[in-house]
Amino acid sequence: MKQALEAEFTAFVADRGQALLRIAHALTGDRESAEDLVQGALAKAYARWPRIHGEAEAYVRKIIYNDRISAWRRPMRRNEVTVADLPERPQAGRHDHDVTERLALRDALLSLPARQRAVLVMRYLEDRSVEETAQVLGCRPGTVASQASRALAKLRELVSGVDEWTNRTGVIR
Amino acid sequence: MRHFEDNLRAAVEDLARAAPAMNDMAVVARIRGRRIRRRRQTVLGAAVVLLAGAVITPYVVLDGRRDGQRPQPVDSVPTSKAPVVPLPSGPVTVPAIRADWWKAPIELPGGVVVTSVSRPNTYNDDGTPTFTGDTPQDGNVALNRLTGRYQVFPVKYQVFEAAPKGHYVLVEDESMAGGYVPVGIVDAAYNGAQVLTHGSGLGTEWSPDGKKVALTTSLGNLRIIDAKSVTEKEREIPGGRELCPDTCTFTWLPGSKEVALPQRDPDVAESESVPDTIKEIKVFSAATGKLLRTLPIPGVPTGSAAWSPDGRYVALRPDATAPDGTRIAEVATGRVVTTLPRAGQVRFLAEDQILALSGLDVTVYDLTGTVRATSRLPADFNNREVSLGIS
Repeated sequence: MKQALEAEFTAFVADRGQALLRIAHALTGDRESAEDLVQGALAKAYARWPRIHGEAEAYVRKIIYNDRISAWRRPMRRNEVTVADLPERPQAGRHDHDVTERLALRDALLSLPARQRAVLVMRYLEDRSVEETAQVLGCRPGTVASQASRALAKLRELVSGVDEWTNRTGVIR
Repeated sequence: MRHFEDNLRAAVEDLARAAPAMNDMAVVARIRGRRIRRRRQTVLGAAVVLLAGAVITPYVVLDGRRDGQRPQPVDSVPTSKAPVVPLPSGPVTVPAIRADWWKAPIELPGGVVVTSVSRPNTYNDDGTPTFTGDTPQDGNVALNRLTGRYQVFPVKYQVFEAAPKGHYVLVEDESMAGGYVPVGIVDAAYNGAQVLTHGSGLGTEWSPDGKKVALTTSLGNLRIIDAKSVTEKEREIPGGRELCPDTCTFTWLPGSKEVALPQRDPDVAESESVPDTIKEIKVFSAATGKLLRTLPIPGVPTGSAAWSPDGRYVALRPDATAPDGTRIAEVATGRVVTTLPRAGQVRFLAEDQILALSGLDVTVYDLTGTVRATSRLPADFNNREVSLGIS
């Protein structure tokens, strides 16, 4: 590969590597898996760099998400937590309700199927629209909405007491 | 009070914030990316020239002294520095390949046999795979040595590489991916499959005896996977990554007891636009990881089949001195005796004959660089990775 393209790849990894790792860690909840996920995507990007360098970030992000949720993948259990592992149910009136709920939600997120988690990461971490999420995940916008809806319902189920604090219904539109 | 979605957003951000600090990702990505590119070049190679329907290759004999010689591997590479002058080799017999190739072992010159053919590994520009199918024509196919026929295995294996001997297949199972694609072993004769809890690192190589796989870890250490038990042992290689070149993987030497790791020349400035300059090759014990000797070989071996059975010669990947050629070098001195056209795979047939696979084209050369025979794999193999072994 020509020197200029090599330098461009190096700069891309330096500039965007950490952001991609953040996405990967939100998807996997595991440092080693996140590094492997990003490294695998970067390797694929490097192999095709002369063709894709103009849209490198979109390409790598798409690979990260799709490598995580390939259609024929079995549900991964390595990061799942059982309900028994969740933090204690927050009690009404406690000052640290939000913190407790965040912790519970973080663990509950990791118990979701990979596709549902990917939808939530795109929507809540990356602030992507339903259409953009559908494009990256290679599915219809309706599928994104239904996956998000199921994910939120599951999270509420796992994090008991959540509804008490919810001011509005968490449905993605 | 914050509502549910705000807390969910914060929880996702918490997870993202806990990401590890970035290390030398670009370096590792480059090494792995080059491996992907080499695989693509291997399968795409000369495959653009298709002979529609030309599955049966005529019997070719270029001259008539010897045929079908089976190499006898030696236990280790000799270190004699006696100069050698290559001579033209003898004749080569090229067996025919039947149209329904999956019904019998595909034999190539020198007792070489096709041990497996992977699914087509082609991808769209957006990174999604284009392959489908579970037939011999487009699936993962391995030779079942018990039945003598090729058998189709699940398409979920993104890497599917049968051992050069025996009945094991090294796989990378996409269906088990969770941040990495785990490596595993499939038994092509008895259909068992086991995967490990890690990916392929910087690369994997079958031992010539088909019993072990050498995996180069991201830190440059050596991990030996036992194919039968699917257990592994890691050997620390001090400084393994320090002088590792662009292609940083252990390859086996004849005898399946030693592995080689090329070392770049530290006095030559590295450039990403040209392959690293190789100063020497270090040879380690596969059992202990101990450094056994250093060979003055100026290149990266093309693989574990790169060494001549008597250990006198080794085939080297293209570099800046021969960007489009496979160099054949004397092991003892590092002297390049001939340069063959670039090929995806190179395998010594005997002490003085080399089989090169480029796309679908099979060419047998002698050490003078003279073509001794040609053949062509079935068109079904286009865009697929072909593994070769000994029948």
